[in-house]
Amino acid sequence: MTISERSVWVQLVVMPVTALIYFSVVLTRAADMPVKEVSWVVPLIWAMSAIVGGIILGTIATAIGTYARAEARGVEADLEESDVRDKEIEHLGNRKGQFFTGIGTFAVIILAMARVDHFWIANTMFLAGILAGIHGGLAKLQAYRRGF
Amino acid sequence: MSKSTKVTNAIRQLRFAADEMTQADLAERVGVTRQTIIAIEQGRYSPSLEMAFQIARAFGVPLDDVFQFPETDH
Amino acid sequence: MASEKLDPVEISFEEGTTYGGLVLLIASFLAYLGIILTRARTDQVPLVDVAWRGPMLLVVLVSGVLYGLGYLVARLRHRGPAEDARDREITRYGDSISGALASLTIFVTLIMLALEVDTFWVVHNLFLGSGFATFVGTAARIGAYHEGIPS
Repeated sequence: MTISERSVWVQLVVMPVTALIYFSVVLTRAADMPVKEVSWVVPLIWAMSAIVGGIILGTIATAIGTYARAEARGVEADLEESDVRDKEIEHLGNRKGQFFTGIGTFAVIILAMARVDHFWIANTMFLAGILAGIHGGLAKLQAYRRGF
Repeated sequence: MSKSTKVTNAIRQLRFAADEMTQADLAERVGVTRQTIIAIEQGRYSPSLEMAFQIARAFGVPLDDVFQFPETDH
Repeated sequence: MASEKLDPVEISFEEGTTYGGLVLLIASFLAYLGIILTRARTDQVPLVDVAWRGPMLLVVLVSGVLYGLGYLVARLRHRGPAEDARDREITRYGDSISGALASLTIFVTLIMLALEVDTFWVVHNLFLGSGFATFVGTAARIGAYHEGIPS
């Protein structure tokens, strides 16, 4: 597996898990108090750091794991550098995510025009980004496993 | 075969005929990963025209010997 | 000696609408920036306090309508299919570029929201960043029509 494919798998685990944790924390807070008082900023910073860090560290960790397992068995590790196919699949992922980033951008601008609390703006933007990342990641995975 | 292309290829057979060239060997000659060669063989990836020529050249045969496009009646 | 005549340059339908879209995009952003910068001066307020909502809504609606009408008129006047395999490939190429930049814009917007930056900057980062992403993708498409998709 190339590093690119590896990070797609990692991304498809890290993003939904982090998003689920973040939204459960924030939405349960919002259920108990007016939206203006919910402290979502720190959870959001944690969530974004967890996603970025998780993807980087996860990719490295799975690569090390693959290498170690191959060494133990005395075979060559299946680690390769990205090539033109990986780049094409990366481009595919960028395109596919656009549906959600487009809607998210539109929604956030409307919300900002309507002067709603930043709580809604931030969470709408975050949700759009997560959905775009997951949708793009799934499209990439399908391209790797089953072809374009 | 891939749903998006009707092109088939004889890369696997050509590799065996060429002194049992491994996928890794062919990948190195063409400048792609082994995964990409596997994907091409299995019809999961369509190489560019340039890559197709490079693959044919690695076997020393014309393009038609590597890739086949079925006759279709319109 | 027969002289070779070069093929006359023809523009595909998709390429033409791409040009139109690019012109409209540039014009609307210039118009928007012009409006709010002028307002900042005439209303004598700092930029962050300018009334940007009206102008943004106006510019987006007007350019959207103009693009839609322009596309419709061009489509009705054009005989034949709207796009072929090359157009689709070039569109996909442009979209991959603008998609990547749009994701970056959203990431930066989220950071600004988390740092509790003023709404004015958050919205304008999103608005201008998305516009820039679209601009780069569209420009890349035009380049691809002239010089092919870079490999």
